[in-house]
Amino acid sequence: MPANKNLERLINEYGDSLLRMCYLHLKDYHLAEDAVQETFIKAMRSYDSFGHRSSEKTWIMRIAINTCRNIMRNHWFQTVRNNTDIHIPAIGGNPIDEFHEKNSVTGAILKLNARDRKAIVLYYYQEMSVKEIAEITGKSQSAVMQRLNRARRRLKKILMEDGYDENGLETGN
Amino acid sequence: MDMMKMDLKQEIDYELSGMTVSRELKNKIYKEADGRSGKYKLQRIIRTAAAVLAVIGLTATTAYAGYNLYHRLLVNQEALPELDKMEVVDMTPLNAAKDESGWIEKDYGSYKEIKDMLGVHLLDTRLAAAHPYMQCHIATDNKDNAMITVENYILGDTDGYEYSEEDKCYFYQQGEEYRSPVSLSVSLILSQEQLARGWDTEYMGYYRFVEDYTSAQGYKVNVLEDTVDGQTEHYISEKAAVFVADGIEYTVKGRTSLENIKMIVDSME
Repeated sequence: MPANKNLERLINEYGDSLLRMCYLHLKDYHLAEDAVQETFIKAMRSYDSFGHRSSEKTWIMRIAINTCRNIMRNHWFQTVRNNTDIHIPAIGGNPIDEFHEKNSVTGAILKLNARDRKAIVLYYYQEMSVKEIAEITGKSQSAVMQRLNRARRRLKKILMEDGYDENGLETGN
Repeated sequence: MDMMKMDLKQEIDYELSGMTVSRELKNKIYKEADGRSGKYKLQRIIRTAAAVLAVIGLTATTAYAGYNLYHRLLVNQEALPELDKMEVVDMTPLNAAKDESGWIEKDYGSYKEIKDMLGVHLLDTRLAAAHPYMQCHIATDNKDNAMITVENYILGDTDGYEYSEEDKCYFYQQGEEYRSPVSLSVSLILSQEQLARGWDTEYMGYYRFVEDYTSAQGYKVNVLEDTVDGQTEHYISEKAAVFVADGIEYTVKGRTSLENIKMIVDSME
């Protein structure tokens, strides 16, 4: 398959969910767009060396998570965090502003800390197994399970405070 | 809503259904993937909710009449005065495994450690005293280019450094003179191919060109500053001084006075 066709396929297959995942991770729409752009470029540059030792989805998610991590480590990001300890609304003209002011699952996830957000998003949103998350994040499966349990409890608490039913989150398989 | 019955994925997709990869973003990705870019990097500042945005984008290099093909610095699409030329540097390859995208990324506790390891003479300053808060990082493909970043390079009168495990960075208290520590970025070109492709840096959004001058060491320097909050009386803007020395690009950046930034640049040898 020609490289540009392959890129088109990857964007069509993973683009939207990657963008949403990066947004949930970075809490900023424009940074999420940057992360998606960088993820696909890195993926294309290394596609030939991708040995299919993991699934394509796991591979591209790993690139995205590493890209987000690098963005969060960046000085500008840290400057922002130093100066504003709350969620930073994205610049106008994006589709997510409306969720900042009202209760929503998205809003609840954004209230979690970075590690909890990552666990929840990979497990529930990207529907990855504990084993796959362990592979992506470089943690043991038991560490991932612990993190996931903590994150789930915290998310449930936030959702209940926001008026959701007390039965808690569906735990998935 | 009964959370037991809630499908979280479906709910997120519903709530964020308007968030899709736009045609514009797709085109940017295609263009970058086509190899029409010298290097790729985007960094943004978003400081307040009041539509404050600055972007440093390293964009496509094309032949540009009457201008140095190899290295341009732009602010909002306007080319700044030409700097000294970048050159191919003979760096000792980093001995580490590449990640899935063909890159090596490593953290170090000091700039000196990186300098010793790379075997390249890199400028440094006596103003960067030894302290435990320096966060150094190198990203390279060992082939075309390498980028070093040193956060908290010079602390000035900032204080109260506390490490955040979650964010993997230090939080600090602003000083009177230095509203942020000063960071250093160093870019090295490792191949003729990269040199031919170029090494452009574009600052987009809330940035403006301040001045160009020749440093005490004889390097041409461009100074930029953010215009994020120009209306506040005591706001100290973030300055970025960019120059090329011995073919290597350096960027010194921090929220302090122009005089302090110049003093730091002049002290680099």
